[in-house]
Amino acid sequence: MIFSSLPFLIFLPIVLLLVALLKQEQHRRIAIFAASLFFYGWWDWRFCFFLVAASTIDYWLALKIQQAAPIQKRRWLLLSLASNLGILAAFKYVGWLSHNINQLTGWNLPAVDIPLPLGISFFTFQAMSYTIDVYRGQFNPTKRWFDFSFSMSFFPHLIAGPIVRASHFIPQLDKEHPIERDNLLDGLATFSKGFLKKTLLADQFAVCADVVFANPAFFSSGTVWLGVAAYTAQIYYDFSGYTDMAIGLARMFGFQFPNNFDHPYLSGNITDFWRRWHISLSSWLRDYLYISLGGNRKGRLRTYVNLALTMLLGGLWHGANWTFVVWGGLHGLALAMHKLISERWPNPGQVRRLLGVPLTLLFVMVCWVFFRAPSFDVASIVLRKMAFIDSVGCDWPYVQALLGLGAAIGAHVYVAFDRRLAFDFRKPIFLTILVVALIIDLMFAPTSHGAFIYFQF
Amino acid sequence: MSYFARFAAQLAVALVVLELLSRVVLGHKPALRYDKRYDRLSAPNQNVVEAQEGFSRGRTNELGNLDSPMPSPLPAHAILALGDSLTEARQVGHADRWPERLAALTQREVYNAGQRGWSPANALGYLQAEKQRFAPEYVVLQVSGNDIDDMVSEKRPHVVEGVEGLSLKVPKRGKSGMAAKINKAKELVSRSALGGNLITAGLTVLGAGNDGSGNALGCSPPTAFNTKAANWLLAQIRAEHAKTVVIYLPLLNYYEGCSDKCTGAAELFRNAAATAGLPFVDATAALCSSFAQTHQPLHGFWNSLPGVGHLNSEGNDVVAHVLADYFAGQKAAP
Repeated sequence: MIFSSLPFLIFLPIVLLLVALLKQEQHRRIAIFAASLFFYGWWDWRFCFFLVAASTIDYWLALKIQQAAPIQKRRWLLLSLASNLGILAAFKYVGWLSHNINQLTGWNLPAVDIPLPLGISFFTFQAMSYTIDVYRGQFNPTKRWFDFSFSMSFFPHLIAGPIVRASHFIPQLDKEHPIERDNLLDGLATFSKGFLKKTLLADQFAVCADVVFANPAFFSSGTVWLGVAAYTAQIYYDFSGYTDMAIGLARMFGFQFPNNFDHPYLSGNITDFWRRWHISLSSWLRDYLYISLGGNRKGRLRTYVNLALTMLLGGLWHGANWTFVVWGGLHGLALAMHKLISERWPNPGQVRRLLGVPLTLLFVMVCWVFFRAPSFDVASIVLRKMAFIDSVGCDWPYVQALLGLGAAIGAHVYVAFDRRLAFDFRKPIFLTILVVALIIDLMFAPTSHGAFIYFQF
Repeated sequence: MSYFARFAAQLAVALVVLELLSRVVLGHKPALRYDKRYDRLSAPNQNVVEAQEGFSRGRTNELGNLDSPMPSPLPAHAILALGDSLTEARQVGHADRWPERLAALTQREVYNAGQRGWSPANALGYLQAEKQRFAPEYVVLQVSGNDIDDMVSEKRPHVVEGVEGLSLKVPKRGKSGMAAKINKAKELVSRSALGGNLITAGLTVLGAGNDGSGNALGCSPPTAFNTKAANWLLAQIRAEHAKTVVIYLPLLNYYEGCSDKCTGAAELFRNAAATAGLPFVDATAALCSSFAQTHQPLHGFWNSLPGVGHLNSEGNDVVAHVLADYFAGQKAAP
């Protein structure tokens, strides 16, 4: 039941109506909790038990960390990390590891193919941030099991984030959250923006990117560039669209989620890019991995190593494939290099300022090739085509992708001049725009796409 | 003015603009009518705008074909082109369709009676019903891999086997009951270009989008009954019009060596044509040769997937040349 699907668009008003009809906060919470489990169970009901069990373990361990003597705290934290990373490894990486071991050693370890619970990478990271914050004394664990389970399973962020830390969400549970008109209108506006980003733009870009990445050797260099540009736009509009929808949904129920994107393709350098892209993940990696590795407190060389290592692991978080590791490694290397350059030459000159945005975007696009390609062979063909080696092939200037890229560039330029693009349903013109956009969407949206890219992570 | 009054006024203006845009560029499908002898046909004298695959604007003639008016009888040496959407070629402009190009290459009148969703079974019904009306010198019957399924599909005119052998059956289209009411409502809404588009889009979203129009262009491996049906159909068509030329248009997989996606289909129709004593022209080699030279697939458009769907302008050109070569050969033959 993805946010842009028909079942969800039926599910949502029913849940909203039910919650609006309930007078007591406790009843509203139970209704949302039940709806969240129903939402998660829509894919596979067995994983609901898994979700509740994982939440219960971290709830209990966080209390143990708080109650333990200082010397014992670390053990309970390690148990929490082992539990979360163990779950993640068992479901996500065991098959990949056994495949790699077989390749390296010639052994014949059995192929493991465990179905991956949706959103596992997100909720394990959320759980880890909770126990680490408790361990660091930055957050007092909640005494109420229900509050923690509610925060973990709240359906707007359950499948693909944003990674909402317990320290951000649980304090919100101290207040009552009746369904209110202003929240509903603002939430609906943000949700609609995300819905259109996904269905009007990302799904059209996906058509182009999927075709090009499926057979890059078939296409000319120009078309491969279009395919890579389409994927660059697709992943942004898909994921930021999903995030907008999640933020909007949470708002409808009276909750606030942190922003996850801030026009990352307008970044002037790679460090800036990671401050604007998937902010909840990059800040998580910074706070819980980079700083835990020593951050910049152990000398210059160690800082660069820590940066590269953090991004390498960040790459691996996205999926069990070496292409993700290379993607993360390239970003780590670029971050370390940018740190080195900005320490040596702290004041960027006119040229650096002028070329910063296009060069950063170009680097990000090249890295997306590794992120999107199913193998290094495919990535290598795409990169050769992009370098105009073997450039001959089918020219396919896919009109919808070109129009979409034009609209995306226009929107970015508009935002670059400090303008804001947002619906406000208090004015009827925005409702008209939404209806017209939905009609065009219905007429031209490809039907073969739907799932959000970040669901697989 | 209240919020909802302003919204209603703005929406009304927006819908009028969208309706006008649909009629000019966004797409306008003609309504359908049904003949009990050969089934579906586009309604006559309707504007047509194709924008999902390629782009063209046109108008159906007095018979419902996307071509200029068709005199009765046809001029001497005229060719009547029968086939499905690959012959109707709604995706390219009128001058770019293979029947129109064939006319220019052969200096003959070529009339395009191609209809979306047709198979040789519709063509047989059409020839039986209308042969006196037109009496062309030649009939060019276009077949493709998807006809293997279409000519035995119960949703369309199809071949059935009874105690007296094979025969043609045209499905009955309900004129009463709920189905008829739904069809009537659909037809009414489809008078608006926007309404028609929304019905199609809505049905696609609900997973009921396949209206038997042959748009999917899929095919199954031939069975013994398909083979028998094809043999029978082409023999019947020869009986109706002896000077019929069968042209096979493949659905090519350009990504894997320019092979026909419908394995065995060309063979099936070649054998059926040979059995019926009809000349058979296969466009596969010419299409693949063009692709090898230019790297550009002959199916697909800039607003649809490359190599998938209907013939583009270059594809229609290749087909026209293949047929023109056949007719030139006929002329040169002693």
